Amino acid sequence: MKVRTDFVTNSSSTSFVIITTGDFERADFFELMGVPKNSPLVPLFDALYYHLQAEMHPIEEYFQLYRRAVGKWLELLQNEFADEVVERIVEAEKAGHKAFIGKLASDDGDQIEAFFCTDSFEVENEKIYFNALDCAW
Amino acid sequence: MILELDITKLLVVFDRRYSLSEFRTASQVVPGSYADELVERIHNCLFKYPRDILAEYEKYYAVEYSDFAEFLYWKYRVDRDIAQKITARISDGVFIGYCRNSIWMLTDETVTAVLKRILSDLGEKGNESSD
Repeated sequence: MKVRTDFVTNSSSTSFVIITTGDFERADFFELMGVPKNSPLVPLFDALYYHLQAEMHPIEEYFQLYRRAVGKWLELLQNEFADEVVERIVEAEKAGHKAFIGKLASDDGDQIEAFFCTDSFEVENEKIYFNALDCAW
Repeated sequence: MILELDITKLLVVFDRRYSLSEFRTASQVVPGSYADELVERIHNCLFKYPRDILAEYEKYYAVEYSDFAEFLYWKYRVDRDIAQKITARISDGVFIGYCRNSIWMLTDETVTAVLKRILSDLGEKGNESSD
């Protein structure tokens, strides 16, 4: 048995899924999250938007990047996400919508990213579906 | 003022305990949205759940410590200078709370600026933040 006696940290990274009917626009994202232009919360959601934008990848690119896997992305999706989410992604691709997967990290020294990395939620409107249900410890 | 005592605990000092409805109104988010839910969680963390430690001091510890600043220093490990500044504000009827840091990002620079604007709209005078 090993006993660790010094400081122990608990870091994490969690996946999110974004499906859009067009490009992932800031204005659409703010509408989805319920943040009007005049809200004091704009800078906070701006930070989240730019984190998402920087970390989201088209499905196949995501699996190449994080799983070093090529092809068979449906199988890879099924291993990683709930059936309903996989179904949504498949339907989105059929409809010509854009589907992305990304990761947020809790240990990059950014408190905003760390918070959303561990906050579990799902929101959608007619333009964007944002699934962060995997974001939990 | 939001003071991070350690990674999981906060000390908050505000002019008063703001209600959820006024905090929500000042936040100007869409009712029922994700942002609205987040605003409620931030409010609960800062104003609903914190234990009133001035009341705690007066009820249980006033006989044990020479003054409130000493109590803050010894029981909550608040820096002596900051403890003195907080103590100086007692006469203004400030709310001094101790709570779990359930939102994680409250001492982030961007979030601090967001809170400062919301509280300023509510008339908060002493809302400087410190880490």
